Amino acid sequence: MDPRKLALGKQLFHDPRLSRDQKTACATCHNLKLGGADGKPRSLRPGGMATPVNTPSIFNAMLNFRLFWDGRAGSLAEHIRGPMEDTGTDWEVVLQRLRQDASYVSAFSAAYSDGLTVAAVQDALVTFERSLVTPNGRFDRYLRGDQNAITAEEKEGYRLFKAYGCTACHQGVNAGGNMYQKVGVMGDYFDKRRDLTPADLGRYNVTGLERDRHMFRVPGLRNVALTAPYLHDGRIKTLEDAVKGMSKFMLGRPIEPREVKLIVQFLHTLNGEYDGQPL
Amino acid sequence: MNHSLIKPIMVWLGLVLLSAILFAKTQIHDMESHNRLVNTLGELQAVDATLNQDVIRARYRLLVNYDPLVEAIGKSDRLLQQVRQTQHQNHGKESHSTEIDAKLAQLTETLKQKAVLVDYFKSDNAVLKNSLSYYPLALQQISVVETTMGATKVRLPAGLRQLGPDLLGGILQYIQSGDPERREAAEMCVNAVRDYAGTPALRPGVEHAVRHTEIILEYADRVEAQLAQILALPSARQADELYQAYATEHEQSMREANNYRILLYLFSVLLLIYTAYIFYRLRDSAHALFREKVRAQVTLHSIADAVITTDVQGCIEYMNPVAEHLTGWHTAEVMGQPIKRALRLTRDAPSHSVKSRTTVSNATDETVTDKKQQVLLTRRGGTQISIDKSVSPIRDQGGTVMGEIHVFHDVTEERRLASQLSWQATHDLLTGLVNRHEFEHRVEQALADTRERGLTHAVLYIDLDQFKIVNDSCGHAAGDELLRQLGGLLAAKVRDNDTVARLGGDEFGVLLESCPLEQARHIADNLLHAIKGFRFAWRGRPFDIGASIGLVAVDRANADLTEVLSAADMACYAAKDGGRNRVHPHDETDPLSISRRNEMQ
Repeated sequence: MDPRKLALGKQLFHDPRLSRDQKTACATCHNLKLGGADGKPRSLRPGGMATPVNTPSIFNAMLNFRLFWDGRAGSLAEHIRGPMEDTGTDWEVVLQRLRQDASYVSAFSAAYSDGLTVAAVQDALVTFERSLVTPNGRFDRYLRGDQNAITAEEKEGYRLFKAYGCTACHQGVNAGGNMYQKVGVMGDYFDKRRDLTPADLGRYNVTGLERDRHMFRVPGLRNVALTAPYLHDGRIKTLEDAVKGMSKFMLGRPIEPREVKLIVQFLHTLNGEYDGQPL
Repeated sequence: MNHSLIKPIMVWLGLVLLSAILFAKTQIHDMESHNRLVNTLGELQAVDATLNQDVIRARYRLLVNYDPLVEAIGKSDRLLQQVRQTQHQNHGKESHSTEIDAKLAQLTETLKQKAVLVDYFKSDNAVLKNSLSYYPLALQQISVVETTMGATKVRLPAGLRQLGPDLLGGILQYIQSGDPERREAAEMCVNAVRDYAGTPALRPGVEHAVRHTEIILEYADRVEAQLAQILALPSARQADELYQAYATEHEQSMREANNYRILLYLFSVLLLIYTAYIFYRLRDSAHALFREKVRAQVTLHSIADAVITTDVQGCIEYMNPVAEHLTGWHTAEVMGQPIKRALRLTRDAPSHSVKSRTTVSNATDETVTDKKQQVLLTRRGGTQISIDKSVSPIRDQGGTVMGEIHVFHDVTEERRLASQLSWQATHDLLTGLVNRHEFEHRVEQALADTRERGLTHAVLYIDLDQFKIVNDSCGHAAGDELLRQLGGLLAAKVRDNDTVARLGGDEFGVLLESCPLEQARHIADNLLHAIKGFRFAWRGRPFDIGASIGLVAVDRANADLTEVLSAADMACYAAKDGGRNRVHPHDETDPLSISRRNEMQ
């Protein structure tokens, strides 16, 4: 990874000039100090509108097979256009603003043969986002053979996590993020609600197929303890409630409160490190 | 450059161009990119096969996570992209194959379908997996005598207790066999279990058991169907066909390139032969040109005329040896200098200098710039010679004037001879006096002068009296000597512009121009006196000479030459008749004259 591009990406990621109102940066919602999200059920978009869904963590986004809750983006490059274009921000306008900044112009000239262009800005952002991985969590160390990396309770939580079938969906390197699943497959999550939003339709919004109704990308569980509230609508405030909700709507089997606690304890071991520091 | 060579060289250039095109044609087929295409396609097939395997493994729980599936799909997507790009690059150059395009589109579509199916498979398989892992437990809960539902212990009805193991067995049998009858039995079993849901205490357990068994019955079919669909997708076959199509196209374009190569060889041979031919022609024409030039120079060197050529500015380019000799300049000394430096001309009449042209442009439109002109050439060192000279423009093939050629030769001797001839024609060789012919010519002119200007001239006829004695007694040599001496005497005694002529034998004529009769009489007397006083001696023997002189005035009274001359003759006769040694002026009324004239007619 070219360190110049990385540095530019980082600067751009935190630069509010990229938004229409010049007040919102990528980092406003994808706050790296808040687990790569903003801790709110919905985020505030430029112009004052709330986002239709809960902001997923930007950390480990590159490990997801597709991006956004409805999986409409196939790559990071595609994904970074989403928030920009959804809020009606014109790349060319952004480019004009950045061109006013001599430090950007010279840094881009150094890092990119074509200098400061829309493509270069997007590439720098993608480069930076690709660096946003959180390896070396306690659970990672445990899987690598460090038996003391996690406690006995956490090991029990892991066993329960597998035994209750959570790993049917939350598997792979990102503990999820590599498939779609229907929210409420075992019990209708949306059943008694009258305030459904279009976003609740999930992947149906993308394909228009009935069988994709309420299908969402399964989120990866790395750093899940840091990214409350949960689910696409951010309605679930705590990790306990999330586990309980999953057991009811997704697994269709009751989990004892004691076991929920153990699973939650296990989930905390999925917190990783960024820039050599625990998140 | 020889004009006749332009066309062959154009043809030659055309051949070179054609060869270059042919060469490009042989290079069109890019072996490397074909190999890359085939390799990528091979890799794609391998990845696709791995994906199929992994889907099966995932279905039978041999694969615990879906990352390999995601990775395989991502990879096959990238490989397909590469194939498309490579093919696109190739087809930028080659004839476009719609068959390959169609096959590639089919494969792309199939792989897209597969990706979608795999996504559904992952979801449904996860649900199925969950239910399969949980339903034995759920069924167990309704097959034990007592179960714990929250805080309360519930005693299960005996019927329900029996249904648990039945349902477990039935579903297991159905999943393994896929037999629709077993499925029917299992569904009946599920419905029987569902009947117990009416009892509130039993509901949660029953509902879980029913839900999971329902899920299994529904999803097992779905997942199986998805698996079958995924495996049945013709991606492998289509990739094979695409591979075949590439191979065919490759072969065909190889063949084409080969044909072009053969053609190129043939063309190269042709080109080689033609090149040799052109070189031969070039050498030939160079030789011819050289020979022509040598011949021209040798010719110019050897002709007797002097030749100087100039460029369009009139500066000397070439002088042949004759020109060098006549002008006194060496070519090297005046090369590139204006021609008048070497060719200093004046008109033959020395007072007028020839107005020579400084540049040729004045003469551009004339075919021959100068008529032959006789001029004087002042040589180096100041001596002058007469030359005959002509100038012509030198033109190139397009008719544009490139310079001038001056041709001249020395006519000094010629002119000297010519003037000598003219003297001999008009003079008497013995005495050096004007001869009769010239004398008559001058008298005629005097007559014309008289008619035009009214001047009076006079003519004397002199006949020697004693000449016959000298001639007869002393011989011709003495006679000749006498005539020569007497001629000199007569010429010395007249005025400068008078003409003394020997008319033949011992007869002399004198034309006295612008001379009134009185003065003429006086001159005639003088002449007579001089002749009388002249003593001629031959071998010591002296002779006295006398003369009879006839005088006639040339004025308006005379009609023509004959009249004047006959009058003079008659006057002379009258003088002789009158006793010799006297001057007799002609008189129209003189009876002697008349009688003499009558006698003569």
